[in-house]
Amino acid sequence: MELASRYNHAIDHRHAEDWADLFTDDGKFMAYGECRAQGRAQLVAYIHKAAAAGHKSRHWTSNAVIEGDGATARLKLYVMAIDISEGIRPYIMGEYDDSLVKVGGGWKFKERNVTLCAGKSWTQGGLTQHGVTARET
Amino acid sequence: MELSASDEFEIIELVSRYNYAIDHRRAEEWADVFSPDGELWADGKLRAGGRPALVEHIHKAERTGKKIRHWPCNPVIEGKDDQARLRMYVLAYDITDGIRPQILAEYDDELVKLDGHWKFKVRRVSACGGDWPVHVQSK
Repeated sequence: MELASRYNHAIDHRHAEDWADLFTDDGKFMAYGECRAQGRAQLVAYIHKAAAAGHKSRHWTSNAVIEGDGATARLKLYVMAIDISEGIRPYIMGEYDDSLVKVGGGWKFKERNVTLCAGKSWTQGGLTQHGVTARET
Repeated sequence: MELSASDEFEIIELVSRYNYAIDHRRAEEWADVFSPDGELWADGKLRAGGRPALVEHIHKAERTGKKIRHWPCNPVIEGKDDQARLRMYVLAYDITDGIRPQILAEYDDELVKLDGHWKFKVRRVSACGGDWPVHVQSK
């Protein structure tokens, strides 16, 4: 579970290298059925893109279910993302269904797969930027 | 020596005890989760240091008449031996009349193990969104 916490700290604070460290070298981030980034370079670039968009948000996770053995695992988890640009506004609710592997004694995301339950992601214009609804760049 | 799973469990439970105590305005219980010289800082300002000031902090919160519930998330614990650092998010709701998000904040805490039990030595909280409760604003 600490891996999921580190993921949230890193993405919320736009620490691109720290975020990429949580994935395997060929790690993949899937959102709403589309691959958003695969491999370290794309993962780092994804966070830089989020940083450039200028949004402020925080990820809240709950209801972890972990299955697996000592080498591979599946993590299911709810997530709610909160827009804190102006006040506190939940803007998306989703669910993760992730594949993890143990690398060098530590767990990494091999594939992080988030599906949408409600709201819109920042790439879909769900976040505000200086009071204006953002558009995907 | 690296922190054990038992250490990490106890630290997470300490957070729960902190939240139960502050939300139910149990001042002595709340002070118990800190070391005797424990400190609470908010946005870089010392709000309470040492047991009497910590107890008074809760009494002051109680006098506002506000009902608050703290919801923590995303703990990251690092440390060794009898020292630890805890980073964590918190979302506090004002439930005085309905359910209203009051503040979203982040902790960056120093903990110490005293007589076999973890305590907050320094609890630092920084606001990310929303507003501080009245008893913190007025300090």
